[in-house]
Amino acid sequence: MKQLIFMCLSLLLILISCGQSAGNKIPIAILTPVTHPSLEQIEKGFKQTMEINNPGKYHFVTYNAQGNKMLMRSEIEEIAQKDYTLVFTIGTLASQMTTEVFEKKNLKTPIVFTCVNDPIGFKIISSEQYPGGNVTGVKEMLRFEEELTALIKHKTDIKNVLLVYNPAEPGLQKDQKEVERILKEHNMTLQTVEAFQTNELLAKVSPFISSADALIVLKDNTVVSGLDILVKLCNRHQIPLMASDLDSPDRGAAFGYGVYEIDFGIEGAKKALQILVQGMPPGTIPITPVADFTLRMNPDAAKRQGIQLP
Amino acid sequence: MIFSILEQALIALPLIIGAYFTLSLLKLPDFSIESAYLFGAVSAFLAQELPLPLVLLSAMGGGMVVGAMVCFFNQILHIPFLLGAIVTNGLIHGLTQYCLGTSVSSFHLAFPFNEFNLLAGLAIILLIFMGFGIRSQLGYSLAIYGNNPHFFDNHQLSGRYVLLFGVLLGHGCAGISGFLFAQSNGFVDLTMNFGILLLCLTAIMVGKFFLKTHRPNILVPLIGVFVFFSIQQLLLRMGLNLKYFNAFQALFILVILSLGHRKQTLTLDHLGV
Repeated sequence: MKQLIFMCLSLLLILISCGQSAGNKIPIAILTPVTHPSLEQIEKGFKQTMEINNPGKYHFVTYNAQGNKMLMRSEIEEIAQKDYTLVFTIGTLASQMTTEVFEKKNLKTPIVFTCVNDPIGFKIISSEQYPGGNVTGVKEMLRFEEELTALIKHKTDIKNVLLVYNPAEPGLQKDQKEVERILKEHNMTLQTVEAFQTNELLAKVSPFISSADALIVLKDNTVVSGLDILVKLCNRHQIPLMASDLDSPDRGAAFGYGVYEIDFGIEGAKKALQILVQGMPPGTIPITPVADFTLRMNPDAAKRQGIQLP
Repeated sequence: MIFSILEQALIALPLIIGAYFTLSLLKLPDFSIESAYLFGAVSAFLAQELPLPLVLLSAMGGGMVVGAMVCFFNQILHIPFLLGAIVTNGLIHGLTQYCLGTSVSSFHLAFPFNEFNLLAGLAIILLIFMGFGIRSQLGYSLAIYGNNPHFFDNHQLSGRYVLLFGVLLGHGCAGISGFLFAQSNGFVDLTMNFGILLLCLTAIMVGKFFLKTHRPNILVPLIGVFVFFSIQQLLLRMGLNLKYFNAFQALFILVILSLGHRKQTLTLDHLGV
C-alpha cells in the first residue's frame, strides 16, 4: 500500500514537473485571487490583446490563489523570485499585496493592476496621473447616476429601492453610500440587505422584497453568484432587477449597466504593451478607468419583472 | 527561495505553535483558531498608534479574547467545543466588521529595523518560552487533558484551568501570527483567515510525521511549518496548476495520515493531529 502511495506521489510530481517552459518568450505572471467567470474574462482579454500585438512572443503563467491569502502570499513570493518581465494583477487585494511585497523586497519588476476601485485609498499608488514607482494599471469605476437614471426611465414610480450586497467585498460599502446619496437626491429611499454568502440570500432578501419597487445589485461577486435566487424573487413579485454588470441580463436580470469585463484585461494589456514594447516606465503611465459603459436589457426578463419595454 | 520560505514560515510559526497547543495537545476541534488569527490582526490594527510592544500585546490579547469566548461557551454554558467554536467564529466575524468599519483596511507600521528581524526575534523568543513551557508540567498537563479530559477531575483537580490556559496561550499565539501577516502584506482583510485551519492541520501532521514522539515537543510545529512552506514553494516552482492546490493539500493530508497514523483510532471530534 505504502509503495503504491509513493508511486502515485512520484507520478504526480513527475507530471507537474513537466510544466511548460518559457523558451525564448517573455515571461509574464498573472495573479488572480480566485476562479470566477468575470476574472477569467479579464485574464482572457489580457492574453488575447498581448498575443494579437506580438503573436507567440509572450509566455503567460497564471497564479490562482483560490481565495486563500496565505497561498496568495506564497505565490507572490514565487513570482518575486522568478525573472518575470511583468506582473499583471487582478483585483484589489492581489494588487495591494503584490505592490507591498515587491516594495519591501525592493523589486523593480513592472506591475500592471486591473479592476481596483480605489488604488489611492488602498495605497497601491500615490497619484492617478503619475503613479510613480513600478506600478500602473486600470481603475474600476461605476456610474451609479447613469445606472439609476436608466432604471427610473423604465419604471417611473419607484419609491423604495432594495440593494443587496456583501459588505465584506472591498469597496462595496463606499458604493452603497454613493447609491444612497443619489437616491436621496431623487427623493427615493434605500433599503439595504447585507449578505456574506450566497446561501443567505433567500432568507435575508425575502422579508424586504415585497415592499421594494426595484432591486439593485452592485459589482459584487457573492451576490452575482447567487443571482438566480434574486431573479426568482423579482419575477415572483414583479420587481425589476438592475445589475451593475453586463452578464447578469443573460441570467435573468431585467437590466445590466456596466462595462464588459474583458475590457479590463484589454486595457491592462495596452498598458503592459506600453511598458514592454514602447519602453515606457510604468510609473509615468497614468491610471485610467474602463469607461465604455453600456445598458443591456433582457426583454423577456423585464416583462416577467413588470416592465413593458417599447 | 530559502529566504522566502523562511520569511513565510516565521510569519506562520506562532499560529502553528498555537494550533499545536489546541488541536494537537488539548485535542480540541478548535475551528475558532481562524478567528483568533483574524482578531489578533484587527486588535493590532486598532492599536497601531501605540509602540510596537503594545501592538504585539494587543494582537496577542485579541487572540486571547477569542479563546476566552470559546472557553466561556464550552465551560460555563456547556456548549460542545466544536459548536462553541463555530458560534465564536460567527460572533467574531461581526465584531471584526464593526471594529474595522470596512472589509479591508491598510495597515502599515513603520519599524526602525528590518521587518525580517522582527519575525526572527519573535520566533526565537516564542521558541525559547514555549519550548521550555511545553516540556514543563504545563505542556504535560495539556497533553494529559487531551488524552483524558477527566483525568484532573478524577484527582480532585479542576481541568477547566488547564483547558483555559492552553486555549488562551494557543489563541494568543495565533493572534500574533495574524498581526505579522497583516503587517507583512500591508492590509487587514476580513477574509484573511480563510483556509488557515487546513494549513495548521497540514503543518502539524507533517511535523508529527517527521518527529515521531508522543511527548509534547516544540519541534513538531517548527519542523511542520518549515516543511509545509518548503513543499508549497517547491510545488509552485515546479509549476503545479494551482487551481488544484486545495485538492492537493487535502490529498497530502490523507497520505500523511494513512502513512503515519494508521494505528491511531480517531474519534468524531479529532482532527487527525
